[in-house]
Amino acid sequence: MKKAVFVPLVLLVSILAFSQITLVFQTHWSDFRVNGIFDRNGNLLYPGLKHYLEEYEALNPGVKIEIREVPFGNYLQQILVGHMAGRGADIYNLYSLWGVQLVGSGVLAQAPEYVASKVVSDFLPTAAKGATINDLIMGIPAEVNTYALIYNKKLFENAGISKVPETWDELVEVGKLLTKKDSRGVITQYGFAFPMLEESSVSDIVHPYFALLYGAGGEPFNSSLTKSLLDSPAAVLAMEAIAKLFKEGVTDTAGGLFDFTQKNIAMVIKAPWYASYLKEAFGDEYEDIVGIAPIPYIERPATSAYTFFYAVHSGSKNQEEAWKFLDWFALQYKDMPDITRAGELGAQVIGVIPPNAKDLEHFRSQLVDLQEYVSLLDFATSEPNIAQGDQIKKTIMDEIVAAMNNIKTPEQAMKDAASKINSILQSAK
Amino acid sequence: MTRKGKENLTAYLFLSPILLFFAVFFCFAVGFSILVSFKNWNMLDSPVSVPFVGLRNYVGLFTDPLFRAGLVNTIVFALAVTFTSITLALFVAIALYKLKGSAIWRFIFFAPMITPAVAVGKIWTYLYNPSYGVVNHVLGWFNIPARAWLSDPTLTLPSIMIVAIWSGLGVPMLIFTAGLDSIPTSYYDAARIDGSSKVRTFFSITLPLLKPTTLFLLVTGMINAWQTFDLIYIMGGAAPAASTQLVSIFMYNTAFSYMQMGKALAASVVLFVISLFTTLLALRSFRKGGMESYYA
Repeated sequence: MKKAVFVPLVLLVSILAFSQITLVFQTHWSDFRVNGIFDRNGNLLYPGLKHYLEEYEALNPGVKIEIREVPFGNYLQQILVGHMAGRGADIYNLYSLWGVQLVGSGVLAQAPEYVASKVVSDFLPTAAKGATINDLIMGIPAEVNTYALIYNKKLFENAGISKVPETWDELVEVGKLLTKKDSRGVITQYGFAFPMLEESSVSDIVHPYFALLYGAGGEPFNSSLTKSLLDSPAAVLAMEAIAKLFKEGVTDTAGGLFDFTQKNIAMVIKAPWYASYLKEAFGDEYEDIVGIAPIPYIERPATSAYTFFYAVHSGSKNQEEAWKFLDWFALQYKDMPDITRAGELGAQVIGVIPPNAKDLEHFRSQLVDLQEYVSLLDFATSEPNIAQGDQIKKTIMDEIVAAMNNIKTPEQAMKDAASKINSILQSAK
Repeated sequence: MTRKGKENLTAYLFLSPILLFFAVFFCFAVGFSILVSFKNWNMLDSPVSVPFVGLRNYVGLFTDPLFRAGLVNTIVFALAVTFTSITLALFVAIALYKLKGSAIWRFIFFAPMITPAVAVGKIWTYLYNPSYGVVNHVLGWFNIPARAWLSDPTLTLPSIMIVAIWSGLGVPMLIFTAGLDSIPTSYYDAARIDGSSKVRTFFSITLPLLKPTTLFLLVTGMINAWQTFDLIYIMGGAAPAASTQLVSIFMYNTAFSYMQMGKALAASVVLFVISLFTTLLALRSFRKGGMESYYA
């Protein structure tokens, strides 16, 4: 009797195992972004990515979704190496800057028509543009982010500063008041700091520079993205503005070894996900410490924006199922409230601006920290999807850091940046 | 088949697994690398189908200021780290030779070798921290100004070289100790009887007889130093790229971030040629020496 039950059971399990579809969802998110946010008693406040995947699995018993967490610093390499080795994930959460490179290399599958039409109709134009490569929609926008000034209210208060700087010159002056040094001249409290050793440091150095560039009336590239304009007067002016912080002793490159959570940095320029990270770090103190304001400008208010999108790997054996999941996760609306699950995760947990118009309308009023970032969308210029974008961005960062260290003048640094980028664009043709 | 033929065949059969391994993972890999260095390969297309571009990758390397900076940094790094660590290891080995409690001292000097490079890099990043790091704190006792060891472009590479030397002392020290053991004590007795000073004994007996050991350490040390990646990758992020770029980092970024495998492999060929040249130079310089030279 036992054999009569055991053997069919084993057969059934085997059949189920082989008929089960396993999707691999690759993301750079980790920690609370995947596991969710809990209160002090261990009760789940906001579900993380894994809760949504579990919900989908419960609704679709034949589908299992695994999360593959990859640090952002190695993300692009991991996609490429995984694709080459035939071990790529099925679904990616991608930085739009990599889009041209990945589409050109045949790594991504084009979005089916039912997905593409919803992306056009339901999402912010900036976000939809981020998921569009060579006029083809390659995925579903996951987030659209601007950059803003994050400042420590307590340090401002202690220094007797009541007004947050609006112009870059004001930021330099305020920074001087907030920077403290010890008896040997080592900065112990930074009025302003640039991150150097973080995974996001390339973006966190280049995007503030871009914001200043746009504010000075300049552009990094021409309209056809075939030539760099970083040798223009506006580009040099923006670089001189950054160099001024170093010349005036407000900051130095060692500031990158500090962290805002240590409460010894007064101002940084970061994207909204950083506010979410600070909320986790500061807990109840967050509202008392963290303030968010527009980036101080040179000539007019401006900021830079970037986007992420969900895409499907061209080498996936389960493309249809992958798009079906993404449709449920990022395009379909929950019954109540009328929001997407991806938008809910992004706004409540990840700390990003939801790119779906309905999601944005719903969360705009609810999330205080996001409001400032959302309001900056009106002044934001989105990062262009350019060939060899990752290499170009690192090149720009290298030249900015050279100018920060006074190895090159701002003018020379930007001239070299333009020259190197034009060579890269030429090789990429 | 003759008896000698049979013996040869048996020998090759026993050697065949390792020869196969060598053929696949060395000969094929090197040959493939050299071939693809003349192609414009992005790793995603088949390397067979991509066209030849001649010397374009090599020209692109030597016109790339980042590669040139990396080459200079690599040469400086390799020479400084290798020669300094061998010299220091020799003196440590002599100082600890036949000393009471030397086993503990040898362990202390060897311990960094068995510590993962990532851990070493991370710990030293904290030690070098300009504000709360131990290094600046100790310098403060002597009123020496604090420095930004890992973000000042003039200091970052030397700071990492110090860590590389410190962490690489252990193995050369042990090998030198073994080399010292191989020198017959009768030579030292004879030198002492002849009234030779310690310094004279060192330069006339110890150093010449350690030539084969020194050659081995020089060659292996240089080869390792040319390929250094981990410490620079972990500790060098805060300084401008040109000041800490090594050819290995350049290769990694070019291949896996920028998808220019052809150019990256061209860089690896250049590194291979330099490594081969320095090895041959070392072999030629040290070809005579050791115990054999006394009987030649």
